Amino acid sequence: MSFAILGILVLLAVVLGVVALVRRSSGATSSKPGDGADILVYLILALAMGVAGFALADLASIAFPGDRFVFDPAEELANSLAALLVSMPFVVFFWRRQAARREMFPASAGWTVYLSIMEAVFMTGFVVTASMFISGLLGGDSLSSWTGAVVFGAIVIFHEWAARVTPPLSDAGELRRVIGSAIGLGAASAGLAGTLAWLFEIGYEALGGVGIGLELDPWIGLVIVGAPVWWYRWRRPWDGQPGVPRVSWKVIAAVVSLGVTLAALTSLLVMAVEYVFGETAPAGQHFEASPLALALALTGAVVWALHRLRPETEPLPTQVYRYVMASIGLVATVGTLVTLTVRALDRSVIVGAGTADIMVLATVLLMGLVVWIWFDRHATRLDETGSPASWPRRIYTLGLGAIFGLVGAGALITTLFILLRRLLVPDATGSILWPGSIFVYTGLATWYLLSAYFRDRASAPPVEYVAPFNVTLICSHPGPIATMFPEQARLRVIYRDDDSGVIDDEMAARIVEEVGTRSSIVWVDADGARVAPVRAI
Amino acid sequence: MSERKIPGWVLPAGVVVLVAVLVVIALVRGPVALDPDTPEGTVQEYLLALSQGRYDEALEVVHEEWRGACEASDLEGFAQGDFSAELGNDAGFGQVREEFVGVAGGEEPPPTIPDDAVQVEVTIHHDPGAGMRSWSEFVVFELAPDDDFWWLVGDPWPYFVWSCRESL
Repeated sequence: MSFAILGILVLLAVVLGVVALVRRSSGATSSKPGDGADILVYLILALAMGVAGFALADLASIAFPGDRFVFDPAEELANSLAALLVSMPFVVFFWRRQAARREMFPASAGWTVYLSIMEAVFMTGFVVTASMFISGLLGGDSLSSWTGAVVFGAIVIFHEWAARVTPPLSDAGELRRVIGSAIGLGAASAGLAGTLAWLFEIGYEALGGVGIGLELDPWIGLVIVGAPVWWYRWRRPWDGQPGVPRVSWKVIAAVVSLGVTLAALTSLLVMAVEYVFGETAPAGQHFEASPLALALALTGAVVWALHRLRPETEPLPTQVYRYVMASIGLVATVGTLVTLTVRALDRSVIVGAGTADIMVLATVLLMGLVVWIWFDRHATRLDETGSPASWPRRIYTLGLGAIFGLVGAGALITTLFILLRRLLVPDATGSILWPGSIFVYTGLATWYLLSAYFRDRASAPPVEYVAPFNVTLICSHPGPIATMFPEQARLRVIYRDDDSGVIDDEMAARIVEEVGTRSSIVWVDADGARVAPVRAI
Repeated sequence: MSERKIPGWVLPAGVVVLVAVLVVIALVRGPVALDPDTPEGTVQEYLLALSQGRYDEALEVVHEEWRGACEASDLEGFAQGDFSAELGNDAGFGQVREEFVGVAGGEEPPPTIPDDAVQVEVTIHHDPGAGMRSWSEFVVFELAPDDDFWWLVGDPWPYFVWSCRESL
């Protein structure tokens, strides 16, 4: 018992020590906003809030019997109380401190970071527990976790209120809503896919197929919780133009959703090809995964439609999306081409080179090729209207080209190693088909991408880069000359004591032309202006 | 002097032609069919049966002394989904051997691998699909001749015999 008291005293001492240290080292009004200390304090607050939130949820679940199994109520109670005892003083102190600072420095980066962490942790907790609770209600399960949903939901609502009172400023302020919408979308789309798969499976079984036995309740729970969260976070009007978090998430959602749809459609095609060309189980059993694949394809299409990028209003994000899709298609094409070549030509392959295997590889390859060509062509067409090439195109051509080049170089080293080993070691074996085909195809991809990069560079108009230069002006009055130099000029004016060196518009234009972009000293007197170039420092 | 530009359709058309050529070559040559009376032929028969889910047929080429009371369902429990296999150790793996270790209990110890047994090295490639990372493993099969047939002995990949020998 005495150890327990000692432990509590030590913990209290730690809490009080930290509070005193923070008060002493960074007074509530002294340090600047957005600096490292502010973010650090918000991180401590996030940690304390996390511990307190989960301890409170645990406490609530112990308090309401029948909520879930409590293996050792006394032990869990002690754990939760101990965590609350330690974390709550931190929460109260740091919350009040940071609330006061937010009043004075509303553009704090730490506030944005803190809200985003809270959203990620507690919105996830809320969505998981609430969907489990609804699933339990639908399935007649008494072990539902409604206490978790209440506690986590309350914490989410509390932070929503705080964010409305002092909204995080700058583009990064969107991050919280973007994270919340991603959590909601993930839950809702998983739920939608599961529900659709369950429906399709009923139809499949009615046609004589054998399903994989999907359940409905968990998926319905995810839809009921995830869809409103996504709607509230994503569809509510936004303040101002889209910032980096919102645009990035839109690109990610569009790429992932279309990727899921294409992968699901490919798997359906593969099932059909395997059935036609291979020795498979009866159709009813062979196509057992088709309801799930169809559901995933439809869900991906719905999500894609909701996050579709429009080239007229969002040209740059559209280009990023198209080049990412083109990259995925090209990587899939090259990878599958290597496998197909080896399977077709290598006689040491004893499993995996049957007719069905070859036809499946050809199908996947053609899907990859279609994706690559489609997005490559569309992205290139949009890019040709601008000059020079956009940065997504430069990353696609130069970045992906360099990656393929490095892979090709590695494959060439392996090919040469195998050849030299076979020359030098009499009984050495090893096929060069794998590394050789990797070298050839990645080499071709590198050539295609890098030649596009150099073609872009050649067709773009030359860009003149001007280094900063200094101009020292000795005159009686500079007139408008400061507005006429290029922005790279750093102008210093030394005033004469007489009125003989005034610069008028005509003289200013002549001086600017004569100086050009060189560092110079300009002397103006009754005889006019003289320009003397000086060495740049 | 005008710049010669390759038309945009040439590249996709070239890839399609290449795919068609590879498919034709593969289909005309057909899959490799090793002599079933050789150790490699037995390994191919075993792996083909595994890859196509014919576990009872796969079990038939495991020597009964090592197979013990194992059934197709025991083998199915260790099945590892889609895979392809090629003879040899081209992936550069080191020599890794799986030792036959009996489960705890008083089961009969496994028989010793006979002196005239041979080894067949195989590289197995796993491709789980759906964007997940593929991987390869190097496997050594032990085969012993008996009654004019090369039987798999020991605990062949995917190493399932240890789990059911205790019921001997």
